[in-house]
Amino acid sequence: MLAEAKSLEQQIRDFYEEYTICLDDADYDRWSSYFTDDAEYKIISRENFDRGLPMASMSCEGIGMIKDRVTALVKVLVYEPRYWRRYVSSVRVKACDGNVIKSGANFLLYESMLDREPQLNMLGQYHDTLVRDGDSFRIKERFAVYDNHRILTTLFAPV
Amino acid sequence: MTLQERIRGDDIELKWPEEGPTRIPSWIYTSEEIFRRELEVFHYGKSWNYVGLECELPEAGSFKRAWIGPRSVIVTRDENGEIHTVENRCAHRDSQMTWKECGKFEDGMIVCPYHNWTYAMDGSLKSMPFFRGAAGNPGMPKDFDKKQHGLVKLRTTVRGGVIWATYQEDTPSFEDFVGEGLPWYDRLFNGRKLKLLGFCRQIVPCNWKFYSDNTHDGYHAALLHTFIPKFGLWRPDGDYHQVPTADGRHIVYHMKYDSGLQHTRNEVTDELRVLKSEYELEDRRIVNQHSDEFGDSTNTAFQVFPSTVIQQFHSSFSIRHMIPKSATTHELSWNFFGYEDDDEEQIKARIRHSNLVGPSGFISAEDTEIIAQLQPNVNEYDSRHVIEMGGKGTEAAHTMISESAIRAFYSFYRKEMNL
Repeated sequence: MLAEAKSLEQQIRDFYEEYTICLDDADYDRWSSYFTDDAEYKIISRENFDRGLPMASMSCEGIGMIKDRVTALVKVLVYEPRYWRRYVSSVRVKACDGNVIKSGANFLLYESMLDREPQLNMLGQYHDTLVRDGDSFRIKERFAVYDNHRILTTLFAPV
Repeated sequence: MTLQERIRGDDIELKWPEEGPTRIPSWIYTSEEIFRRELEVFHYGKSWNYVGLECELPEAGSFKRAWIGPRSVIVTRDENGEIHTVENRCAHRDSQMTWKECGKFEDGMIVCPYHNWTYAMDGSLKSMPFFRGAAGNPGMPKDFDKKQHGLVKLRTTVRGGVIWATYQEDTPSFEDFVGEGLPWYDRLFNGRKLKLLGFCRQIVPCNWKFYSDNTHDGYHAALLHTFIPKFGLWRPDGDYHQVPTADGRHIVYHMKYDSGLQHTRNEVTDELRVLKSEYELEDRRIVNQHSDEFGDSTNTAFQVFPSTVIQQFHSSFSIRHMIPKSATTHELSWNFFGYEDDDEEQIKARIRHSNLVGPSGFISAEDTEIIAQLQPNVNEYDSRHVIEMGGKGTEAAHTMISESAIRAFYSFYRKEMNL
């Protein structure tokens, strides 16, 4: 039983690693394939999340809005060029019911501009609901909850 | 040389260009002295500052923290239901009375964590430990008068569920302060009870007036932002009005939403580089109207200077709270709300449309990104910004392609700042 639970945690860790590599490589077209068609995706402040307030900095209802975030990021929005890098740690499995898994992890998002020092943009925790999809998973619900009280200037990058 | 001497123009460096409001000198975005003067004249002067929503204080003892420029204040509700605004600063040693954003004070008393001086919700000093001494300790002197040592209290008023505070006794009534734009305020704050939906906060490394200016600037909206013209949210060929009010202190924007506009092309849209970008959205619910709540198919933004821009963009309602932190840093705090009787679909629409605004907004993120890039240049160069689109006047403009609202604002600003 313990070995099985560990194995699930390891599988989810691998899944988070793959997801992170996809985003860090700016492979945004593939990013949406990590989500179910009806996925809910939010990047939300700790303040709102803890108080049960629904507003988020980014809110996507379903795969269409997730793809639209990519379109905007790649083709539309005006922003200073930069490299984003994400670090995911402390992966945990909180509950598992058949094919539905509640999991979480910590994340850091760093950004490196072209003319100044890198800076931490965001840090926080994922609160996820995953569903099994063959050998891997898809995200049915992701709340990326950031601890920093304020966004540093702007937030363009998905996490 | 005193500050007053400098801003009178005794120092050539801080002399407004002779051209008047068609030129903005870069030093208003960098000077520490100008920054302090702005706080005194505007935020701590005869202005009403946004401090919160009445629904954030649901019961006796409720409090929330707010900011007026760099100053922290606490907004409270007492046992009679009355709302008070006091500085978040103990009369004893300047200690912060609370470090929380909101909550409830036990027994309706504000207790300083440092030496436990205890204040009522209206800021009056009620008690302190060892006031009369104990076991040989003498306590406070006999002539210590608690009435003289309360928290600094601000005048507070509520209109339509929104709380405003001012430092000055002789600030005109909130209604007179807002002036002829009041019907636009009342359109949104019409007596229906408000419901807080959440906050999005940004800390931005540039002078706060760059944000204020940007909301006076209809000219950029269809040139920087692709989403605005592409989806017909506002268009230079549409029904659009930017109206300076209260002698240029505030500005009202209102524009009719016409879903057909996004499909039209003409000599106006030929000028818009951003419309050349080819892309489509998978889910148009973010840019399409959910419902015409006010029966006028209109989107609005109302800058109530110096603290807020009140915005209704389709179903997204927000009070954008501009909080100057220093000459070169401001916080932009988005306070999103709806109505208490909204159904679930309406709340979802408010959240969905809020993807257009805020720190990640398809429109607003570009504003903050651009203005943050202005600061390094104004720090370096003593430049004069050229504000002549649409002419040299300060009247209301019924087109997006005008900078008359910026000129109107700086006519007001110069008068108030004595520049």
